[in-house]
Amino acid sequence: MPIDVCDFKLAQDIAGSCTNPQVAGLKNTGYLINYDDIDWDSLAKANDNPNIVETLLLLSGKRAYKVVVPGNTPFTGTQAALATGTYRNKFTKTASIVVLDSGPDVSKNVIDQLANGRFVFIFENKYQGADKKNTFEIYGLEQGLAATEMTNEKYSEETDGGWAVTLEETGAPTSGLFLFKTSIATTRAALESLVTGSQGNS
Amino acid sequence: MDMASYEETLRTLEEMRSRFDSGFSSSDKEKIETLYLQICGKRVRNTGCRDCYRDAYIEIRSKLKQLGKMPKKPNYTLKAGAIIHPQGTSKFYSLANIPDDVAEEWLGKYPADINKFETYPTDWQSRVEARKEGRVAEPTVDELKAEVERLNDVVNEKDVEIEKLTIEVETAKAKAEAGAGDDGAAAMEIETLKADLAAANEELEKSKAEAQAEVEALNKNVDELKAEVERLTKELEAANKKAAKKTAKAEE
Repeated sequence: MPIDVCDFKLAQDIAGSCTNPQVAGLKNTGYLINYDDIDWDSLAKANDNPNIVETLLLLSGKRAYKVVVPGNTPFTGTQAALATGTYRNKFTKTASIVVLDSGPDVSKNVIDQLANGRFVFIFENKYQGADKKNTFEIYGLEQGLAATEMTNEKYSEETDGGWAVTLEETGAPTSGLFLFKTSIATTRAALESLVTGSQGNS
Repeated sequence: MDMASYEETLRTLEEMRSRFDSGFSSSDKEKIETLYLQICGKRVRNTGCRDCYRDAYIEIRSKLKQLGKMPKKPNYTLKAGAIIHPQGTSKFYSLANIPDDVAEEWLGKYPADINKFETYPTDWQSRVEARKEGRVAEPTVDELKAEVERLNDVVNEKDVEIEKLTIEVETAKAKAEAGAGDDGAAAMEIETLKADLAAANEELEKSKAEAQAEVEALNKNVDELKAEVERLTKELEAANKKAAKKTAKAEE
């Protein structure tokens, strides 16, 4: 059996589109999924591009949760950055979320869980790209996102006294993973289905 | 998450009604969330607002009244995140909204996609084959059982109705006897009720007999299906044994 040697070589010219230029920023709605609620056995990527996730399903009775952050610059601080390694360089991906509530339900159902769990975060880029494949990007699908910072500063103007949460995925081998199935309409329908979730096998 | 009966669900909703204006309790909200998903196939939009639960409550009631029964559990349901989009159509199917014919036609083309389904009949392969050959698939054993149960419920309901009418007649008779001679109104009432009861009895007996016949026919169907399954299992076992013998022989 031949040895699979990774061949890291450029495969495309580097130039921005003049007719459809890159736009910075994210839309106001994102989606959080518990890492262990994903049906990993049925995860499928595009044959021609493994950075495109075509099938992302959940286990029976599980669902994704919407994260809505209002304002002009939602999820500020969300980014991916190179992390050099001994054998292979990887990426650290950071998702910044503001939770505009700090009541008992949010504390129990959201904050305590975010503090200790592992998650996958899907967010919507303002820049969709020519074929819309840039629209939905995924962080945490490889190593899972875990909380690295959570603060509830009562006089904070940035969070209106709510929670500022930073989730981080370290050691991700892929710089960017995108959710896209056939068309943007199908992808949106899939996201809607993730949020609704199934009723389980009863 | 078992589905409660139609009457039970209506009773639960009726009981919650008194809190509609003042605000639902946490347990009410949980029930509304469950029923909204079971009956309307949706999640309550924003769990932080009060009106969302009121809207969901109204939608559940309207849907139930419109259906007149609990929605039927579909044969095929998709996993969360799975979308079926048949080519040449503008329709997207997700979760529980995929009809049998669409699911079976899709699986006929892409059988590996069975891993996108959360629930499906145990005999889905033969159903897909039947669909391919243009035959209408036989109802599943579960479907037949559900139908038998439904008909048994109808028979039970009719029995309760007969009981109620008998009690009414007895009460009216007792009243009439107590006030006999006052006027002929009570006697008239008894006669009317008697006539009503006779007509209702006749009607009930008729529908009971029909339901019983249907139950028997369905039971027969279930038995036939079971026999078929047994026969196929035996055939499979025999084939397996044969194959094992062959393998053993080849190894020798």
